[in-house]
Amino acid sequence: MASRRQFLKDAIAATAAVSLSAAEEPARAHSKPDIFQFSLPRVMGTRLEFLAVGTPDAIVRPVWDAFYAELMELDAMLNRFNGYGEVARLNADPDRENVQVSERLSDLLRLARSYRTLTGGLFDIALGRPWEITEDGKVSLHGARLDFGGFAKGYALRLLRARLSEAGIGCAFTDFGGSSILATGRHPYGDCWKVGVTNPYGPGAVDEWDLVDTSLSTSGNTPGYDGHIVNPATGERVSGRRMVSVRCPDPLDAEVLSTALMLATPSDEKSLASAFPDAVFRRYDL
Amino acid sequence: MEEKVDLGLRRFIKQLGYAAGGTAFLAGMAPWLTSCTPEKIEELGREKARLALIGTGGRGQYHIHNLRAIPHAELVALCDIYPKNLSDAHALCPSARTCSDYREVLDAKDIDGVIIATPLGSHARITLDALASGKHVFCEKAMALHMEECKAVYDAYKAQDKALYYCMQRMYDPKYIKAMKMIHDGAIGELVGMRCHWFRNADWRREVPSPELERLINWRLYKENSGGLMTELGCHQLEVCNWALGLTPVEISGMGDIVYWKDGREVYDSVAVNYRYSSGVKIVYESLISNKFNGMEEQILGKDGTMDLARGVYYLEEDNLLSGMRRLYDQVKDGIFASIPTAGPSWRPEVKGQYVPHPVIEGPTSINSGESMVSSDNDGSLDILSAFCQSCITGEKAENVVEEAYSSTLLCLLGNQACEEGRTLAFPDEYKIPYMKF
Repeated sequence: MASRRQFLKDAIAATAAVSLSAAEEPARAHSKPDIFQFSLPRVMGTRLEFLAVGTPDAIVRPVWDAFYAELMELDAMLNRFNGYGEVARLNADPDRENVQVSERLSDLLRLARSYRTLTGGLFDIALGRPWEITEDGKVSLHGARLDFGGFAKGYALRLLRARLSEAGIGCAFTDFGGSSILATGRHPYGDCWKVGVTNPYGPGAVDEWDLVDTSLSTSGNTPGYDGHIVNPATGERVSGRRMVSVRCPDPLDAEVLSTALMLATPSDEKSLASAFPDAVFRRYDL
Repeated sequence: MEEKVDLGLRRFIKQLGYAAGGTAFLAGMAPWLTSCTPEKIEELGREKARLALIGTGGRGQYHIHNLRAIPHAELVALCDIYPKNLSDAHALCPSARTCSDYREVLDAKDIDGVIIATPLGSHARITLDALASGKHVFCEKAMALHMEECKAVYDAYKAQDKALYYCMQRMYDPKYIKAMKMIHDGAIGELVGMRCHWFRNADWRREVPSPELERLINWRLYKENSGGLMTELGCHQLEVCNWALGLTPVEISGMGDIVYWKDGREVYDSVAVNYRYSSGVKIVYESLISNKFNGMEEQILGKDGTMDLARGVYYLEEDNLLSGMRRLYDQVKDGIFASIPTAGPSWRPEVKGQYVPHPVIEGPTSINSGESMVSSDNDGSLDILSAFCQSCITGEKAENVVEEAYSSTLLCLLGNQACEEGRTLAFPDEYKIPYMKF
């Protein structure tokens, strides 16, 4: 029975080690700053959470309200499924040529096209034969269907970033569905916003990022949503327990790059690194 | 073989987080385990429980295999009225003597305890006779075929000092015990519902060498010996629901039919039974044996998560994203700087397949597919049998096992009654026991 006793000793020692680790004291402060928090349970297919710290409510609320109105307009325009938005109507008849679109959508499509070029075709908002847009806003999808997906989230965060900057709101944290994070300034009691990257296949974090005035985008598969990242040119799907996170000052750059990196070969990776010199990325095999 | 059980027990203890001398820890979580702690096993020395097996069919032979792995067990007699099963069992344990009348076993002075693995209709009679003969008893579930028999056994058990076990193996299965501790500690929040089902696609028949043996061999299909799906399958699942909530339901309603296997059987091949607790929480129970798509599941639903007992995993209603932001909010509010776990592939609206399963116990876990008519590996059956053998030596009863078996068997029988009478039943006052809370 000596081995059983030894086992029990080992078990107790292991428990104690865990307790000590868990008891590490985090940094603390004593002042109670203003906190403005807002959650949108459903927007662009996911959730949006916003937290601003240290700025009076009277300043934050109008900024948030304006952003919210803009976000709703964007969502209505880009939503593929609502049946009435511009993108839904375009997708309903993708073989039509030279369809005139609004100035706003035209700007967005041109922006998306520039990212297609910048990523060497690894990122696109549609699959198959490249869609086209003329300088005067006429679109030909050539049978493809638009899916703004992550692009829309990154673009929305870019808009929010500009509004926060303009209003002088220097301490905020925005989480758009977990995959897109905008860190404005730093944590009120730390030197950064410290964010753990969760493992969708199990408990715990796989990594931790320090974010200061920057954004973080994560792309990858999950147990219930595998193979959803598709090479726009070849139609090849990326499946398996893979994930990539990108830190980049611009949230739209981060969004585009995290998706492109899921598809990138080593040689593509070098091209992307030079195209996005401000970006830092890490891959995770889960 | 001795090493196998020793390792199993140690692993079992480890999984529960038990430390030497920690009986208070066990008493709060699973009091029936206080009779079989490692220290108490150590005290057994070389003593062995001398046992007889009454009923040597599939389940009985499964127990023989388990007994061979228990160092403090010695099987000395085998008893069955069906010669073929008796012969097969004897081949597994040639040193045991054989007989066809269980009273011979009960009269034998060299037997400490009996293991009853006979058809349900005979459980109560043999158990009562065995207790009256001064034997410790380990009986297969369910407790009995009729409610009055259950009460008679319960009263007899409380009036004497012998140990009585029912094979409620989930009470000895580490993943169930750990999961229940998590539930009781609030891991999935306030309990709001229970969903259990057991689906198979098989006729539930065994081969019959001669027509006059039909009712003996296929006893599960006939009401004289069987409560059908409720007593054979539902018994375990209803027990874990009561265990999770700590209550017994107050109302029972249900429907039962023979939908597919119209082969002369008398018991339902499809049942849907609802149990309502006083709090309004309900067990939605379903079993049928002509489609196995849904398999066997026991889900305890909480406001904050779902415990999938059969698979040994749990799911949280709001994983990662919201918990991360809530944590950040709380940190800022409390003046704390720490990491928040929030980044990952895009969160999408909840549908069933997108919840992340978290294991109740780290490492390999045995999962019962629910398809076998006899057994499942590492499901607690060996551990509860080992505990019984220990009780045969020490005379110490296991807490709550009889009470849990009584409660769940009553629910099975009331479920059948509700199906037959087509009305909602209240739990009858005459069958309430002090252990039950409503």
